[in-house]
Amino acid sequence: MVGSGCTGAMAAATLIEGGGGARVLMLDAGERDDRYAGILPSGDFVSVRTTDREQYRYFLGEDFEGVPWGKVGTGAQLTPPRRHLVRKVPELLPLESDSFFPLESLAYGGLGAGWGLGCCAYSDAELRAAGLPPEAMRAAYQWVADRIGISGERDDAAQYTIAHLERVLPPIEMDANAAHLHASYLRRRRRVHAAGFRMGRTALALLTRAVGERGAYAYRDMDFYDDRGQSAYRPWMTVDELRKRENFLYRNNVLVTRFEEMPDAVRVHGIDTAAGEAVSHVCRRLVLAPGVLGSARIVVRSFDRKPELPILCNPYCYLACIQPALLGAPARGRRVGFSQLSLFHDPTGSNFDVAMASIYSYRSLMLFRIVREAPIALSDAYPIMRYLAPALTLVGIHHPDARGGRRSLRLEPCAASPTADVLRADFSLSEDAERKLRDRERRFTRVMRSLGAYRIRRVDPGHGSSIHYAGTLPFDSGDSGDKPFTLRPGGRLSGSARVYVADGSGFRYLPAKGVTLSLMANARLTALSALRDA
Amino acid sequence: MAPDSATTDLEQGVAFGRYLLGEPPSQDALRLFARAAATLPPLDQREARLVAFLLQNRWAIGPVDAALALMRPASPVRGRIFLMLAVLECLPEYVPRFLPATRSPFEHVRMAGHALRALGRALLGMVVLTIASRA
Repeated sequence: MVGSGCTGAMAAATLIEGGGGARVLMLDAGERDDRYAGILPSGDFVSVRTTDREQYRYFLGEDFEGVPWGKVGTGAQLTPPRRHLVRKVPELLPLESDSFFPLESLAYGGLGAGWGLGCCAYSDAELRAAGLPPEAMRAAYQWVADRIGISGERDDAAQYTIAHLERVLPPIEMDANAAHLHASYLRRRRRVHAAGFRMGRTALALLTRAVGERGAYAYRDMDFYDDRGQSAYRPWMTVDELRKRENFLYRNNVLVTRFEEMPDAVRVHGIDTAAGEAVSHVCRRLVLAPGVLGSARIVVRSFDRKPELPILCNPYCYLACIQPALLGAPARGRRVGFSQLSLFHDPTGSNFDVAMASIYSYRSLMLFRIVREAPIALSDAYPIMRYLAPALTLVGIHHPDARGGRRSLRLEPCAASPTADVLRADFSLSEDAERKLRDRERRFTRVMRSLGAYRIRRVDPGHGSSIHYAGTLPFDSGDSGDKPFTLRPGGRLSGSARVYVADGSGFRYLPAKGVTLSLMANARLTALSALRDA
Repeated sequence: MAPDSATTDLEQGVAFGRYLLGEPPSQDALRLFARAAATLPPLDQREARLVAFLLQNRWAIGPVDAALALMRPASPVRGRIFLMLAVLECLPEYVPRFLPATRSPFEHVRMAGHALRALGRALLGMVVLTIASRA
């Protein structure tokens, strides 16, 4: 198993718990936060702000690395205690592009260590378009949901999120910002529906009741800084559990670079990221789950031919809106860092080609991050932003992505890189797709305005900023089964007998709905397929 | 050109802190700002000259900051004022300035005042910035 993120964790758990005595070795770079975990306080955001004289250490960073200056880009929300997610990425996963700015991670738990926890199950139409089997995915969604714990509400948005799931925990309590918007939606529900929108509580991989060693969400509003209480699911929790098993071995400081398939085994090559030396391991079956771009690198390196690979990525932007009724409201009440509401645009009612907005209130990322965006003197900007902040509603809009436009990944030689190569990426949308996207954003703006939230700014962090990637090794259900650089249904690499890809590389279509739950469900299916083939 | 040293970091801290707060910043704020500023790359000649101008003409910090926000928002000089703001936000003594506990009925009026002042500063700042850049 390569990678400890959401997909690696679910695939490994499936292999370990699937019976048959599988022994799993997980190879992982495994970067951890060894700097901030010990100094993060147990208190809530407001008490920390008013009492802790050392708060700058985790809000700004020991080296002040959390004070952003310059253009807002992918991962701008990473706080100092979460910055280990991207540690060593520029050196070990070099990527060059003028048009695509993805976020990758070498962390223990992968990008899942900073996941926003949003959970959406794809509709049957979306699953089929992605190349995934609806019935098997439904069962896998439930298996994942039972494992990670999902809270949500069976409301207007449930058809896009948790409709088919059983055993869902009650949703978290909304803060004043979300509650005001939700009340407005309930009053204008019919008009919003007529415009093709549905709003509801965001389903989250967040416990609202204690389960086992994991506690219920404590409303500390420190969600961007720590995992205290473990109410928020992180894949490292699953890997930690697996590491207690005799048939599971975890090895960190390994960056897997390529594999060689032999008649009865696979030799996996990598680099020891601490010592800089080459390492190799032999296994009977190899399951790749280092993330879509990581899998692309490993697979391409493992063959003589170096093709251009496709890529899918949800176009993303966010709207900063103001709810005037909340201007100047006290900023010391309860706040939640996670998305509390979701807004879906499904004009045909088909649950296909749906655009999704995750809606956030703003506080614990600190005022200074939004003050810098104001085009006025900072001494005027911060009192104005303090006044605006309780009323500020951030609407992050994801659009579905199908192929089209100009997009490609190529692995090119680069002597300066430890892996002797660099991934070059191009990404653009077709003119039609751009037009549709703008039209949808205007519709989102209009519906938010009808709910009393007025757009003051649109921010486009660039392609790649959605952090949802897929489609580099698309599923191929053709009969020949050996079309290179594609996956067979079940996740086996075409032309290979022993190599599987358990992340989103196979998806042929990327719905706008949060991808992580579907990635985890697909990882389970891939692991089951590997077990069946064994 | 003024040297970009620890001494000027401290001077900058005093000047930028007073500009942001309307009163001298605490010793903790100055200490933290000096530590944070030491992590920044040195200013180039143009920006160092602008900082020297602002330290000699502290009344000009607001107008120049306002002009930079419009004309050169990524200016490292504005970045240093921003750094001081981030430092102040993380000190408990200044929390009420960033996290209000009550809603004041005069808040709307105060905000209108800030907006008007921001406009005036920007207009003045564009003139000052042009003069300071040529000096």
